[in-house]
Amino acid sequence: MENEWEKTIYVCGEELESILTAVYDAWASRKGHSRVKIEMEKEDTMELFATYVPVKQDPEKAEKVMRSIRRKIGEEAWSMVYRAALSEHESRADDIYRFLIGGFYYGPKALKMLAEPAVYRLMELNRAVGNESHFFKEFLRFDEREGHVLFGRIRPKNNVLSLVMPHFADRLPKENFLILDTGRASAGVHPAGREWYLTSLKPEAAEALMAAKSDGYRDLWKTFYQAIAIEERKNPKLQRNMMPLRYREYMTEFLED
Amino acid sequence: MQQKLEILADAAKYDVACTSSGVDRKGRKDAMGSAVSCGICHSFAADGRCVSLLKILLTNECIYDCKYCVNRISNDTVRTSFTPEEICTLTMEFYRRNYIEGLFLSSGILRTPDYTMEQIYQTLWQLREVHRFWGYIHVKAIPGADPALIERVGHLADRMSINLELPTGDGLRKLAPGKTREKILTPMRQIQHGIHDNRLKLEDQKQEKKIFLPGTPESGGAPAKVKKKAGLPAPKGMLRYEEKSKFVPAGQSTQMIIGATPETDHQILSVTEALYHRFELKRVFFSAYTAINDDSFLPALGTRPPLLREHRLYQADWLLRFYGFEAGELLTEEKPYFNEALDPKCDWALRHLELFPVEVNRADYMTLLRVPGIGVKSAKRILQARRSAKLDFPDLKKFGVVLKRASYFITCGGKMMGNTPIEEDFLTRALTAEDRVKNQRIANAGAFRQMSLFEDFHVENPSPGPDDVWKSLSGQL
Repeated sequence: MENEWEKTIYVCGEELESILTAVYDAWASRKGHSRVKIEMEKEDTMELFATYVPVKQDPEKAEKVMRSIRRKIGEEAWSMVYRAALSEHESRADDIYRFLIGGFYYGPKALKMLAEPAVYRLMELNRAVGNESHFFKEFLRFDEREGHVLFGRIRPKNNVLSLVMPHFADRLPKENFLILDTGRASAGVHPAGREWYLTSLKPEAAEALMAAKSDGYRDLWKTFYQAIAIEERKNPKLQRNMMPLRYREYMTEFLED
Repeated sequence: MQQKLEILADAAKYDVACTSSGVDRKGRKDAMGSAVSCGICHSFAADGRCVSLLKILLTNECIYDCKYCVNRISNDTVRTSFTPEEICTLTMEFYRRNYIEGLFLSSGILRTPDYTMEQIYQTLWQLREVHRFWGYIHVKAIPGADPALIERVGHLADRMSINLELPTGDGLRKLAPGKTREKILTPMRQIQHGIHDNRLKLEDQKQEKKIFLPGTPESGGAPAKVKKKAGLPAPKGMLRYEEKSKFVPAGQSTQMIIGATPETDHQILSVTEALYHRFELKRVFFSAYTAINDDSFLPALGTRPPLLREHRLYQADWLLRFYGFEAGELLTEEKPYFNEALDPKCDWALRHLELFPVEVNRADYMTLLRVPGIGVKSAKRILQARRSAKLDFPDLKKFGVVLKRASYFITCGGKMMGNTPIEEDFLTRALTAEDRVKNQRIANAGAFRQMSLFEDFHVENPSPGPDDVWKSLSGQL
């Protein structure tokens, strides 16, 4: 017999599908929202008086949750949940669960209830993910490699690669390009004239790409970049505000060679 | 090529606008490029200004002798020109690598205004039709060029601009002997009318479509003309950009130089307001004059650009465009300059204390916008959130309200945040103390810099290089 204060903690993986499966399981358990919690596998501090239940990823359950969100709370809510699932925060799975409690109760208008902590939290995750993916649309740089292949690198905190790819696929339909998330060793690949896809990249393949010769337009760009600044207005603080240092890691204008 | 680029980018850098905003255009399978209405900055130069477009001059040769300009005929500088082909290659190759969002093409006057405009047209035409570039193009209309040329360029560009150069006709006569107010305002008017006519034409075409072709899906970028042909699918061959037939879809902008002539802030802001109302400009840019030429009509060499003044003007410009303010509310003939120590909104609020405090849970949108520390986004969030809950100060903080300023002007549920007297002297002191450091920084940007461990003492940069990344990937680190 369970104690009534005892919590059940559903432990899920990183992917959206796994998170949604956990939402399904936690909800279907009917233990009551205050007595269930979803955690990511990584978390290492365990709670007392809690039962840990590993979640078995199930596409069917995830699909059901997705459909309910789209039907009952709307497309906008779905895209917010999708983005929140890409967040770097360990709490994201439970944050999504907490939002859905209100979301299924109030319907589409839940999105507007920003004074509600769960709604605000989801918006916060969304904003962080959205902002970071926008930064990489700005600051990502491609290098041309042999055979007209464009190669770009990012190291985002949130898993934004799947949000960045459509932007470039739309913009450069006739280009072969590849974007590598160096932190996660995953890559987005876009063959010219076809759909893009995500894949994980073997170290040898990444090595071949990174070691290739330098691109002739690098120097031209650096020249332009240096010429366009007005010396009398120099303002590194403003520059850092607009373009934080961590985004400069792979930017052509800051590469040394 | 490298040298040319250096010269012609350097000569273009005093042009302020580098925005790529105002038009949404999805990519096309047979072209390269797209545009997003919010614009995308691709980098920020050492002066903190956004680098969005490849901002270059077609040529830095010029027949004019405008006193404030680096490219004036009497300056002894190296002169060079790009060919249209060179500009196309640079634009395309930079764009592919995501260095830029598009092209910003300006030019000195080579031979005649018409000849220069013709060259610009050639470049744009090649870029759109030969290279099939679908990204953003901002181009200068050359004052005095044939209206027919301006019309054709307008169908290839997203944004056009003609620089007003100086806020008043007087200043212009003194500093730009080759230009007159009329030469500048005529094409500005032409573009305004062009945008209008074009909009009406497109409306008509939409109406026609509605009647003859119910249910034709509105796909982004597909030409109205082709669709009109009784529902036939678009032709197999490539679509010409000009057939989209949108004229300057992102609107026009202008810029004026601040601090080269003795106009007051009030004059400048009034001109700005008139440009928005009478010429329907999208943006008016201000450019703090950088003393580059030695001339008895100009501030002496070594005069620092009036950056804080420029900053205040931009703040006021924002108030005109998004906050429902009028120029006459912010400045008057009697008080023709902005307060250096306070931003224009705080300054206005302090002169209208009778209107405050405002109750956040009840005030309408326009009233909220006038509260210092509340912006467009936070005002909208407040409206949304208060429908389902009564808001308190911690909520406001989450919505992005700057309580350091706003708290003196608002109540939540009838209560103010602290015990503050609504009294001008007290508030002025509180608010200026807040901004003093920041204002100093803006005013002195570029004048001095902090010593840096890496630059001044040659300490090795410890951040990982590309090598290390590869190592970490293959597990050697």
